[in-house]
Amino acid sequence: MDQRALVERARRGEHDAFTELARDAVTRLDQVARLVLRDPELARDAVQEALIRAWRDLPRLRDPERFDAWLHRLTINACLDLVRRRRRRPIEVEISPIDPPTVADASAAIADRDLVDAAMGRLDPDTRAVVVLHYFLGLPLTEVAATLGIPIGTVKSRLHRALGEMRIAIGSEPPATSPVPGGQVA
Amino acid sequence: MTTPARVERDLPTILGDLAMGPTPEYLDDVFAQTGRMRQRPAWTFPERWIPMADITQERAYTPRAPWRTIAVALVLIALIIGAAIMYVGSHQTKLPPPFGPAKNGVVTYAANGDIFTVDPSSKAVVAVVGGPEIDARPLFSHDGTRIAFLRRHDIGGQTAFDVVVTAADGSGPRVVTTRPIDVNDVVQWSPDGTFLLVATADGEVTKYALDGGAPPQILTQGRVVAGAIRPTTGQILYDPDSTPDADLWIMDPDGTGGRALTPATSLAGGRYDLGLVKWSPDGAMIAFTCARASAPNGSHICVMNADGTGAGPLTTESDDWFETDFVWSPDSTRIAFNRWLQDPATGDTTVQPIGVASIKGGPVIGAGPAPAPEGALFDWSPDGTTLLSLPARFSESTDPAAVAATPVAIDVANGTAQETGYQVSSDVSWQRLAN
Repeated sequence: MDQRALVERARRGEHDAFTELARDAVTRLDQVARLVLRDPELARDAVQEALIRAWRDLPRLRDPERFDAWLHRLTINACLDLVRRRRRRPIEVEISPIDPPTVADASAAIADRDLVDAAMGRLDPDTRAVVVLHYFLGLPLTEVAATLGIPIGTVKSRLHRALGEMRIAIGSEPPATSPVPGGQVA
Repeated sequence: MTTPARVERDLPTILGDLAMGPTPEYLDDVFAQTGRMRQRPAWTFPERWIPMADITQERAYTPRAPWRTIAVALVLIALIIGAAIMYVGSHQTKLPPPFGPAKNGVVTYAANGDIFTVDPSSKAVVAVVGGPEIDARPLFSHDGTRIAFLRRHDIGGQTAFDVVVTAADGSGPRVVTTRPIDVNDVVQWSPDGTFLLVATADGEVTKYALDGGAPPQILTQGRVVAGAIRPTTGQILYDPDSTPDADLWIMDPDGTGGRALTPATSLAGGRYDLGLVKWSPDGAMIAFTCARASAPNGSHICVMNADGTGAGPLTTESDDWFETDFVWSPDSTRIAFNRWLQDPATGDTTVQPIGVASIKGGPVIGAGPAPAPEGALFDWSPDGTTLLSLPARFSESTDPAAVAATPVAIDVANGTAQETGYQVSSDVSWQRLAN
């Protein structure tokens, strides 16, 4: 059954249809949440919260074709809400030393991955969300702005800053240690 | 291949690798909860049960018991008009025009979940809205008599906000919105102060009348950004959902007459995304962000006439510059904006002092110190002599525990900056007074 029909059925309160939609989406949502939050446990909480809210508010969704975009927005918002709530408490962080990679041809990709991972860790969650939506989910910038509810100028400036971090990380070595006092927010 | 190009090419693959993980096995927990949970009935969402056609067209009044109601209303209106005439006659209150230069009043801001005003001259701070609620993002009306702000209320563990309007002294708070909005949704005053326009991230543009009469009116589905209401006519610029490209449309204040002002593809030169669009205060020009063909991921500022003609870049800065987050001066002659400079050798970008450029051309003047790496949040003083600047990241903070920042007042004439001496945890809004 196509997604539109499933969304229509789920909107009418059919649990089976929602179950199928959630099973199709959960891996992607989990990946998005883990990239934004960099913590599997927090990511699980965020995705669960997003899916529960999706079920509750599905009758609000006017256009079934926008289901995926709507679900992405709920997930990103759940991620950022979690981060904001945790900011009120001291956050225990673990600072992992980053070894400068020995970049040989065979290991260059792995080294790049580690460097990008470290660079992502230095970004704040709002900026990571922009990177994930644009480069992981492939959304155009206008869609990223709409998903996050921010001006496209802000999207661009965040992306610009994020890419700057990536370029510094990949283009020069060794990578800088976290500039955030006390380590990076997990 | 250069490092910047390689980063952009490889990033999707690398992020895909980083995102790899075990298959989530917590769906059963979700289904256990949703199985017990009823969906929110569709009727609780007004947009679901009021047909769009009814909402966006002229309101049909019910004919029930009209004469008694009309008679009472007429008496009340007569009393209000009489009281207003007496009040105006006794106070001779002079209001500023809704646009153009005006005299500087107090500055409003949020801190620790409350709303304050501060007199920039005497530094006297007044708490205008206190209490246990978390309030944020205050915004003065164009005539300086009222303040709109966001009030947080969590629904089922989810953060949501209402829009509240008070008098400038904080009296008479009234919730205006009928559905919760997000902290980043766009709220703006109409030039005459008769309505608020609220644009949510899910693409709904709603007009909330403030005279207590008309119900909320959903004007359109699309994107509206701050500064989209034409000061002189009330016409609204928007980007409709129905068009795949970022075409710029305009509609009348009542939501009718929507038409394309200019399709992005018709603009000469580079790639114009029209993501940030603002009318000049005199309503004669429109500024917007644009990207050049030579730097498609860059951002510059372009201006065009009110009818969509004559589009062109504001500055002649090179592709190494990244410009966005612009604000018109009250007299419509200058534009201030955030800017970054990229080192072409390393790809590293550095935030620069706020740029100020004349719409007639000429060099970009750097004003004040370089702000936070994300750029500054700033606004012109009503008299056009000062830029009030603070770190941009506070724009989205509603956490009362957020670290406060001290705004900096920048003298536009000579670029000197001075700390204001008070701390804020949200963006600021300057009251306009009559000269």
